Amino acid sequence: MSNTCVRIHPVVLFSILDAYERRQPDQNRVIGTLLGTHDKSGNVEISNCFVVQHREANKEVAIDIEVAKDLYELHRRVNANEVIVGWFATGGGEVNEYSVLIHDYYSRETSNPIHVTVDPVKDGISLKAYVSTPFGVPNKITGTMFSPIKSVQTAAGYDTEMVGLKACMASSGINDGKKMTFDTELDMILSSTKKSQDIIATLIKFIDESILLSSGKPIPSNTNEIGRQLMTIIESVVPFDDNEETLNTNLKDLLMVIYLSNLCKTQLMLNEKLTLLI
Amino acid sequence: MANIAQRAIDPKMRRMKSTDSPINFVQMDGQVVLKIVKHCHEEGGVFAEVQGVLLGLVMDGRLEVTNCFPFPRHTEEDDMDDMDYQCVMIRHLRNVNVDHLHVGWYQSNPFGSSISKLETVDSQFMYQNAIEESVVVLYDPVRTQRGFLSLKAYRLTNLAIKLCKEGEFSIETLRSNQMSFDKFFEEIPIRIRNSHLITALMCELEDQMPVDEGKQFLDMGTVSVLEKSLQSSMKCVEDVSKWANYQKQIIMKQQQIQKENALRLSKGEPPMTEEEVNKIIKPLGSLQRLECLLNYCQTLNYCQQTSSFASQNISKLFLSKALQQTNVKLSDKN
Repeated sequence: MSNTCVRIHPVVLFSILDAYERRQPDQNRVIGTLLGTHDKSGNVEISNCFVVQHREANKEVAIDIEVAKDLYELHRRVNANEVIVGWFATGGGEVNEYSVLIHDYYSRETSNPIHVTVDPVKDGISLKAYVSTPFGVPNKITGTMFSPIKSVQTAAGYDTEMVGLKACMASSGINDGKKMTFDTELDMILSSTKKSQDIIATLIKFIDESILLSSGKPIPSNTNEIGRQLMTIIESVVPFDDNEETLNTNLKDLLMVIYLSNLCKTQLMLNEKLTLLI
Repeated sequence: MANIAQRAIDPKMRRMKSTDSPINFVQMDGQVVLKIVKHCHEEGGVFAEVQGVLLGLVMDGRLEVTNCFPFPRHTEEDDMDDMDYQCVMIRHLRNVNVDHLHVGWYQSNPFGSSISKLETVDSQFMYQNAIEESVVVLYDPVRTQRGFLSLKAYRLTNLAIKLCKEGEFSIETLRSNQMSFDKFFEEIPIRIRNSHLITALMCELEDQMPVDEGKQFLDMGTVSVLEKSLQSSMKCVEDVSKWANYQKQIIMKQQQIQKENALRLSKGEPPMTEEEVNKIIKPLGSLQRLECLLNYCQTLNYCQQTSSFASQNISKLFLSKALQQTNVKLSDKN
């Protein structure tokens, strides 16, 4: 097990899966270059990737090296901070005999490349990251050993990326089982209010049924802990002294803004009609 | 009049009314959403102009955007021009079976400010000339930072295209075509689509995401954002009022000319020649009128934005009020 920590931005995984879906009909495995950054302590952040065409047959691998270099240059023109950090493979299982050959190529492009495999398995998408270590007898037979990286963070990225990811999830109906699109900001707040209402209802039901009215059944052992947590939540809402007043002034301001902007809209419409009349 | 008011209130109504668009909606892959977000974030600075290319295909009545790539930043020592970059990139993507039809472009749009820039209209006009269905996708990094993903697809209406082609924006052409500022751009609804594999992946990611991730939209301290957007809308309104003043002057001058003509007629002289009229009222360049039209567009946009912002803030206020009141009740009991 290696101590390196790998953070993979969701956009990279999306691109890898898209690449797999767009592979040639006769192609089993898709590989490509991973771009990203190394930090001082050796951790790797993978933030971009592109597909590199290759063929593997009869224990030989042909990689389109020229195209890989070209594409790298093109990506560097957009973001010069991203360097080659490794390569990915999807489809065709985990590490196989061709992986070593491809890894050799990437070892020449960067020191200590990361290898990421993405494969759909029975219970989801399996995602693994490896680093390689050479082993064997010095000056005799040597080989490459792929050792898995323990800490792989996948739901990592910028705040805005997470907001985007959330929207994608909502549109696929992952959270609530039905597909949702948010046209207005108000819709989002409404849905999250509903959600928190549901959570509170579940909570109250749990407390009522398992703690307060547990007829015969034993009370859950962590009841004290649950109570303390709930108390902290309630205390975190600080009631202001002049609460009502602050709220009302805020409300007035916002209503004023709405009123003015609607007025402005009407003015615009009127003005236009009048100019077209004269 | 009722018609006008309704249109002003409900942007969706307006959207449904425009039936001349060749596409009904834009279907966008999740990957494109994330790529745009990432590119705009990395390009730094909220106000940096960030652009890129959308790739996809047109399928009966919908525009599918399946991939995209960013434009490079402009630097001094560019040894390769943009066209080359685009062509090479599209060629490489084509080799790995990515759709290579250039169906539009995306642009960052902080505070919703770039919809009515002349450059936006210019480039969109060019795109729509090449491929009729193309769209411009505007992404607002500021709003997204606040937790609401803001991606909007726009295209020029057929009417706007016609007027742009003629290059004529005089009162007469506007009147004869029944053009108004809210018919300049039309918004096309965006739907995000994900393949089954990606949906499976998202289920996995969902498990790993912290519960409170992406909940910025419940943040209450949003006064600065409101202030900022009000400031920019004030600037727009100022321009509008300048334009209104100018129109007032023109009307006065026209009345003056009419009086003068009547005077001359009574004296038996011929009325003023066109040259003389032009001396008094300078004819307006068509670009100026277009700019004014776009400014109207922009003001409308700001108005809609601020009112939606304010209404969501009100809802948050009520939310927190409810929370605090229960708390007060609770502490009273204690």
